[in-house]
This record gives sequence, structure tokens and C-alpha cells, in this order.
Amino acid sequence: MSGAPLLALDGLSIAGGHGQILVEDVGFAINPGETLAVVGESGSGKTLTALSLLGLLPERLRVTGGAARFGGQDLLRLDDSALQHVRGAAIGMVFQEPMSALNPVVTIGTQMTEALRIHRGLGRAAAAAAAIRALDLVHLRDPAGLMRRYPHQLSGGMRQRVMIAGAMVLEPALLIADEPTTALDVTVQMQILRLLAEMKARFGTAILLITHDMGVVAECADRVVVLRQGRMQETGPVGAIFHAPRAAYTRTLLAAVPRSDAGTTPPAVRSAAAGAAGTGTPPVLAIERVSRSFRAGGLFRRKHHVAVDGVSLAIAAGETLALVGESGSGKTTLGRAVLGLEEIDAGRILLDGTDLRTTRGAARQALRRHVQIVFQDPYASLDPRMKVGDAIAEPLTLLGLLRGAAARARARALLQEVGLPADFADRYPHQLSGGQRQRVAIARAIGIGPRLLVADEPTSSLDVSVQAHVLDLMATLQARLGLACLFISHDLAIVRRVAHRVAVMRAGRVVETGPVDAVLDRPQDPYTRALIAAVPVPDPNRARCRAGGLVAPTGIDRGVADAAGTGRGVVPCGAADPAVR
Amino acid sequence: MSAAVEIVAAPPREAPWIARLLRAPGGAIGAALILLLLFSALFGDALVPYSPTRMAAGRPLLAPSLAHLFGTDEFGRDEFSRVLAGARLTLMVGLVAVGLSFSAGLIVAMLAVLARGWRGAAVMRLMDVLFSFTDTLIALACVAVLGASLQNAVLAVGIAAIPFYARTAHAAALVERGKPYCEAAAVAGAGPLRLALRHLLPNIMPVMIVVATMGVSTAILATAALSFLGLGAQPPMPEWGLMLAGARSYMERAPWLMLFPGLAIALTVLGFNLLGDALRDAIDPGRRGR
Repeated sequence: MSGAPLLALDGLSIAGGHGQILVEDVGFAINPGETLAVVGESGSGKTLTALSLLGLLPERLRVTGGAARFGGQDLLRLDDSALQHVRGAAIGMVFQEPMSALNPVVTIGTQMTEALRIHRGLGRAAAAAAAIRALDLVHLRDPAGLMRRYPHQLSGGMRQRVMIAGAMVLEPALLIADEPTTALDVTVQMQILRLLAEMKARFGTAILLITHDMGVVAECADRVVVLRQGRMQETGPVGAIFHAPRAAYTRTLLAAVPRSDAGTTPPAVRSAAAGAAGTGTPPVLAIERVSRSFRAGGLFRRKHHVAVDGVSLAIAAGETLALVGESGSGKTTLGRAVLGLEEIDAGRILLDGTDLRTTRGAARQALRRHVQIVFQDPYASLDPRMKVGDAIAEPLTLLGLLRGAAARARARALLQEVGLPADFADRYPHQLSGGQRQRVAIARAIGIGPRLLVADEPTSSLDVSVQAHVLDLMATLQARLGLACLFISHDLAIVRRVAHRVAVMRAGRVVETGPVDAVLDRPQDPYTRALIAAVPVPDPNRARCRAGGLVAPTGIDRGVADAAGTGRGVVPCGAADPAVR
Repeated sequence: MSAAVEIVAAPPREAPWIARLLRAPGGAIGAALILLLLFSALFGDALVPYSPTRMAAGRPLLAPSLAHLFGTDEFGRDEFSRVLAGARLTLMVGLVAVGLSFSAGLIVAMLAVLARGWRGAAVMRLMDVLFSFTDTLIALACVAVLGASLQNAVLAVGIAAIPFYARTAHAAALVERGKPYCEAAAVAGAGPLRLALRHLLPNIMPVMIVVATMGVSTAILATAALSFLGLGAQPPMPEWGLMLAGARSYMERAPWLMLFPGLAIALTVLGFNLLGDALRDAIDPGRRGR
């Protein structure tokens, strides 16, 4: 690269309120028109690094050393009013969660024009015109109409486009994107990544991309900085990082990334599952033409939203069926129906050949113990005021299997079974890490010896390296206990790793089902193909949106109402079919 | 197996909530004021120089002096003794009234959460209707029916505050009810009663305790107001609100008669409010924060 770097960060250190070191001696440079990815797991200090550049660190934290040269100024030494000029005007920012980054009670137009009027001193009309141009730039349909809408009326992808438009409207030299696609579906993620690449190509904007996803890194980054616990592990061009990683941690990180394009399939039982289906043994779970719809909308505008539409599936003992689909596809509703947490309108759900709905009282309770669940968010799925041991023992005592000291002893044994020390029984959930909590949730679920485990995105809130451990644990337990597993996920890479069969859901229907290899390698349905194509591949050689250059605007999620949303956010649907590319 | 990788040491134990409470200046002041009130309530009897109801302990309407620290009232009763003796009444009033509305409100809220559907909605709408009348109006109505006495005033204030506690508890419980851990408990076979007692109640308690602590001051004020209007404590009870009412006639000749009971009420209310505030800060982040 020629000339001086756009931003040169050198020796950044950040300390917390009690003097603990959170970031230590981090330095990197970003050249104009370059994408630098800062990669790391939670607690690595990647977000703090970005926030310190904008002077947005939380109150208790202090920058204790370093310099950030940007346009002849040291960003770390600027006072608030000077930073105000830099923020937005010279450095734009895109956050992870587009819903909370946009003010829900203010129209898009007001939010878009605010920066223009502050930084550029534009009048109302001129600012509005510039904002509309920016919205058009990010390929949003009907930008003028969009100006009058509120954030909740837009889908997640549209909101993130608005965020990018808001950041780009002042044509900053540097765009900081903090996990810009983590909260989005894969197909939408790919569009947003492409949009970022397009902005980069068009305006020569440098991008500081903060992410935990090595797939996203491979797709977009020119150079990579790997952080761990506040220290730099490695930095280099993206090719070198992926193909010849020097730091041991980088290798661990890469090894932990499940790949959806190729790789190992889970051990055994596949044939057993097929065999069971053939011999007429009833499957553990049989879902027959199940439908579920919700009435949404207000007092006057009733809408019928069909969440699950005539779905039939079966899972044999020891088999994992993955239910994949984007948000709003109905996969979670179906999982909840299997658990009895959701009523169904039509169809039957059979557990070991018995219909859940025809059983009442004690019989239903007995059936209940055959189905257990592991939720997505281990922070919310454990009672914060109940000791871990009591939480694990609860199902045992409730079903009258064990009580008192026996139940407590079993809880401790279960903790060891999921790879945690037995004395964790006396801890409260907030004293455990995310991965540990998810282990507790698993111990709780398997304690009563269920036949079927429903796992609703059990690893999507965990770091990749922890993810791998939890998935291994689930596979081990499943093989040993002969559990059938309904694995709900949007992550095809994980599905490839754990599932035997896969069912792809879209808008309440199963569009394709079959063995994992067949579906993922030779998808028949166009939607499945679109879904697979959208998954970032952790291989920079195959990346599609790094170089920027000529990426045709896809416009796929233009005007798509958020199907999972409140049902109120009705946005005119245009060419809104994600399956059509 | 490889699980050991992610097993880290337990996070440093946070200071117990009581320590965090007392470290905050507001919490320390609040706790000191409440302790003072408690002390007066427990040992006031032994400390008072005169019986609080003894007339002509000195000449009427004496200004504060060493013999009569807070002066004397229109009947020559020692004002200091009466204020001190009022502490016990006030504390009882606050605790009983809040205890009544707190427990009744919690029960109503739990029933409403458990009886989902129209029954729950009906119960809460009824609470809304009650809520739309001001507390004092409901209390006045109660006293009008039951007759004027301190007990009835406390009862009235307690009843009037039920909708407030019911609504607060209901809102908190609904939030908790929607969290996955409640669904996990349901999947594990927990019935509604167990869900309410074992899961919902412990999780809304921190919020409710904070609300109740602040509620004590509201109840004390409301009862004092009823007494002031002559609908609560009856003479010669040394009740602060009643003392204020009596002192009103002598406001110009003996302003200290208003000053001391008024100050006592203000400090007590301040104490409970500060304590409640600090309690919220102390309890909230540790347990409930991520």
C-alpha cells in the first residue's frame, strides 16, 4: 500500500474500574480502502478497542496507554467536542443489533437527517434529499417512503441497511462495523456483507470489521488481527492467517469453526435410524401434518399468520434431525409444539406412538418425561435464584423419580457427566460461564432419561471454541443414551456436524428433507440452494465479497416484511422471494 | 475430556448485598434513620422523661428548654415524650399497612398470572379500576364504613394500596413467566403452583422488597394524613399526624409543636425512601444482571 495508513493504532491499553487490564498493547494500521478484521471471542477486547477509537468506552474504563493516529490527530487524546466532529463525519459506525441502535420512536428520516444537519449544517430539505440518496445507495426500495417509517416496521436486514446508509451518508473515510451481521439470517448476512464491499469499492472507505465469525472474515477481510483476552495473538493478510496461522490460538479458532461445505458427519446410528424406520418400530417422535397459526394484528386488523403449515416428520431413536430455516420459518414453533408448550391446530404429534393431545393428567405427565429441551440462551433458561444443583434435581423430584438427598446426589453425578465439577451444584447460574450454563441445561434435560431432546439453537449464543465442546458433549451423550434429537438451528455448518437428517423449513412448510449429505451437497429445492450459497465459507480463496469490485446489488430483502415480526410491520412486498436469486 | 478448557475459576465473589447497601451514602443514611426510629420504638418507653399522655407535665405551650426538650403542647404534655412514643405507632402503622397490601397484592398478582386467559385479565382489570381512585379516596371510604380509629385507618391505607402492589408484582411476574427458565420448569413437569412459589416468587422478590420499602413511607404519610383529618388516631394518642392537627391551632404561638412531629414524619419517610433506593441498587445488578 502506498502512503501513510488512514488509521495507525499503536500500543493501545485499556484498564477496568478495578485496574484489571482488559486490552494490552494492541496495535494495527488500516490503509485507505482496506478491510481490517479484528477477530476474537467474547472477552477478547475487540469491541472495547473499537469503542476506544470513538471515545465511547463505558464510564469505568480508561485508556491507559497508546496512540491512534487518524488524520493528524490522536483519537485517544481528543476531548469530547473534538471527537464529536470525528464521529459520524470522518468515522462511521454500524452496530450489531440494528433494532436497538435505531431509536424506536423516531422515524428513519429524522434519524438519517440528524447527522447531516449537525455535521454538515444542511437545511431540512437538503438533508432529506441527501438521506434519500443514501437510502437509495444501500438498495432500499422506495427511499422517500421509508423516511416516514419507524424502525419496527422494517425487517432486520432493512434496518441494517438503514444503519449503513446512516453511516455512509457523510462519506466517512473509515467505517467501524461491530458484528454487523451477527443478528441476521444467513441470506441477509450475505447481502449486508456484499453491501459493505460495494461501499468500500465505490467510496474507497476503509472498514474496521469486528467479528467472531471466521467465515465472515474469510469473505470480507484484507487483513486480520486476532485478539484473545485483550492481547494480539497474530496479525497478517487474510490468506496467511487462514493457510499458515502462526499463533496456536488462531489454529484453535480455525479448527473450531464447523464447515458446512465439507467435513465429517456424525458417527454411526445413521444406519440404525434407517433400519428402525424400515422395521416398523414406531419412531420416537412422529409429527403428522401439524399446523399452527396465530392471530396477529390489532383490534381492527386481524391477520392470520400461519407459523407451521402441514408439517410431517419422524425421528428414530439415536437419530438427530436438524430443522433448519431462517427466522420466522416456523421451526421454533414446531419445536415448542413437540414440547407441549404450544397448542396445535391440526395434525398429530406422536411420542413412541402415543398422541400427546389425547392424553391427560398423569399419562401426559408420564409422556412429558420423555421429552426435554435445551434452550438457546443459557443465561435465561436457568432460574437465576435457584442453585445449579437444585435446578438439575428439580425434574427428578417433580416426576417423583428421586427425592431429597438422592436427588441431590444424582444432580452432582449429572454435573460430572457433562464435564463439570460436582461442587458446581452449590453455585448460582450467574457464577458460571455461558458454556458451563449450557452444560448445566443439558444435565438437567438428560437427568430424567428422556427419549427425545429438543435443542433449540443450543450453541448459537456461545463462542466457537465453546460451541465445539458443547456439541461434542451432546453427541457423546446421545450415542450413549440412544437419544433422539430434534436439533433446531439456522447454522448449516453446525447442522452438518451434528445431524443425521435435515429438514429445511420455509414459511411454515418443509421444503426439503433427507440425509444431511444429500441435502447439503445436492440440494433439490431452490430455497435450500440459496440458503447454502449464503453461508460464509471460512476459506479466503473462495470468498465472494472481499475484493469488493463488481458485485451486483441483489436487492433481495428489499421490502420484505419481517415474517417473524409483530405482524404489524406490513411493508409492501416487491420481488421479495429470497429463493429467487 | 476437553471440557477442562472452558472451566474457569468462579468469578470473584461480589460483596454481599448488605455491604453494598451500606457503602452507598444514601443507604447508610437511610439505614441510620430507620435504626433511630427502631430504637425509639423499642426503648422509647424507658427513655421518655414524662408519660406521653400525662397532662400538665409542665405549663401549656412552653418553648423548648432543657426540662422540655421539644416544649409542651396545649395541655402541658411533654412534646419530646410524645414524639418519641409516636415512633412505635408510626412503625407499626407502616409495617402493618404495607404487610397487608403487599401480601394481598402478591396473592392477587400470582392468581392472575397463573389463571391465564380471561380470568387473569378480569382480576387485573378490577385492580385497574381500583387503581384509578386515589388512595386517599378509598381510605376515606373505608374509614367512613368502619369508623374512625387508628386500626381502621391502617386497614384502609393497606386496602387502598393493594392495586399498586398487585400491578407491580403482576408486571414483574409476567416478565419472568415469559423467560425460558419458566418454560424449562414447565417441561420438567412443574405445575402452576410450584411455578409460582418456587420460580416466580423468588425472582420477583427483589423488586417487590424494594417497592415495599418505599411503600412504607407512603403508608405512614397516608395514615398521618387520615389522622390529621381526624379519621385515624383519636386523642390522646401520641400519633404524629394527630399531633400536627392539634398543633395547627397554635401555629403562631408555638410553632415548635408543628416542627417536631413534622420533622419526625419527614425523616422517617426520607429514611425509608433512601433505604429503598439503595436497596434497589444493591440487589439489582448482582443477581439479576448478566
